[in-house]
Amino acid sequence: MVYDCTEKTDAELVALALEDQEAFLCIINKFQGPLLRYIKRISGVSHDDAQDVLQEVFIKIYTHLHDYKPALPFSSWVYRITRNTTISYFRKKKPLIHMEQEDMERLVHTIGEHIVIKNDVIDPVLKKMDKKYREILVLKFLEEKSYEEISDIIQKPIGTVGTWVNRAKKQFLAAYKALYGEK
Amino acid sequence: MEKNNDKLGQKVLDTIQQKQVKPLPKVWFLGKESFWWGGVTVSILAAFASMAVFVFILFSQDWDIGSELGRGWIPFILRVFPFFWMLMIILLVYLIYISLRHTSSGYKYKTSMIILLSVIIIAGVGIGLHFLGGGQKTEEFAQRHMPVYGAIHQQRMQLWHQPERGFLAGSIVAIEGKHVCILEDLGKNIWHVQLKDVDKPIILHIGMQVKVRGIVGNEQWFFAESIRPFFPKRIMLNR
Repeated sequence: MVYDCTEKTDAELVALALEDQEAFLCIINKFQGPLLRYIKRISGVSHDDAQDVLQEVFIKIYTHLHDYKPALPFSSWVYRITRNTTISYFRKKKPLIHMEQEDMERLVHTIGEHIVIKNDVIDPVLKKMDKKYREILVLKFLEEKSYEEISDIIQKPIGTVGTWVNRAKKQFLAAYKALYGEK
Repeated sequence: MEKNNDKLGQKVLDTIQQKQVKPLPKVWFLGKESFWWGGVTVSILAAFASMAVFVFILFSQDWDIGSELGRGWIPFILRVFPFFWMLMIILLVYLIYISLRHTSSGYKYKTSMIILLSVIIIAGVGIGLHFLGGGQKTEEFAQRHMPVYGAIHQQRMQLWHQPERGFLAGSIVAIEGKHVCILEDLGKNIWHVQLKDVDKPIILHIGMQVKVRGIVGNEQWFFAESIRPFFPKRIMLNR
């Protein structure tokens, strides 16, 4: 059966997928782009590796469909599963810090404020940052998630998210300035 | 890119079908959630009871004569302070925290808020429960059913098993006339207790547990100077 997914809400898509596996394709198609990008951003892995993780993520989403509660935005729930799966998938590997050029530009443009940031030197800056702050930067400035959404994704109180975002910005700027000066 | 997307979607669906992957039943998630909420509830109730015993033990110590009883304040406090129940409360607050964190909405609360609120509620309810007699009841239950705690309790009781130093405690097994009672002490010895010179007489009855201060006489006689119930009176409930 072919479904018209465009008119359906996330909750309706979940209900449909629980009745018919084919309808799960709607969820996959809707989220695979953003989730693939997110996996790459937080793990720094290659496109192929990220796709392997993404497959695992969708299988996990499918098996946990009954765990979804409509009180939570579906997108946050899906991001949470993606984050947890990615972390456990790469737990044994060394954390990667490579970031796409385009992401670096966006990141430095959003956080950079008054300083001119050299794009080609972002990796050493990110290398100096705590993993949790780097992840917060990705969610806040690249995925453009609200504090509430980040709270639901990383499962921390909103207050903590606010604090971490500020610290992450400060840590990023301090690390950048320490390495390359004010200009 | 669109083609790649379709490929991935189909690959996922094929895996689901080949491996016969099914969504986990709703009851599994409900059970998991109930388990953690059950953990929160049980830990809170146990913490209330532990706090009630903690307060009961603090209230039932002889702070007015502690230094004499324990041969100094520090040995006295080390012997009577309810460390066991304090550790129980700490452990239970930790269990409340862990269980709450595992519930689906537990991540929304700050650690400091969970701990602070738990401690305030446990202290409030526990103190109330003590005044309703819950502390003593729980302590008696623990003495009977927890061998480790029974030993700790005995250590505390031994403070009043020093007749040669003027401290005697036990149960009244008989009352002879107006001024003498027969007491079985903590070592199961029988004493004739002379009550003629006690400063504040109290009404005694058989089976009552008392603490007596006085002087040892000959042949298992004990001349009381003061006598008090072993446990202070509860406000609301009687034994």
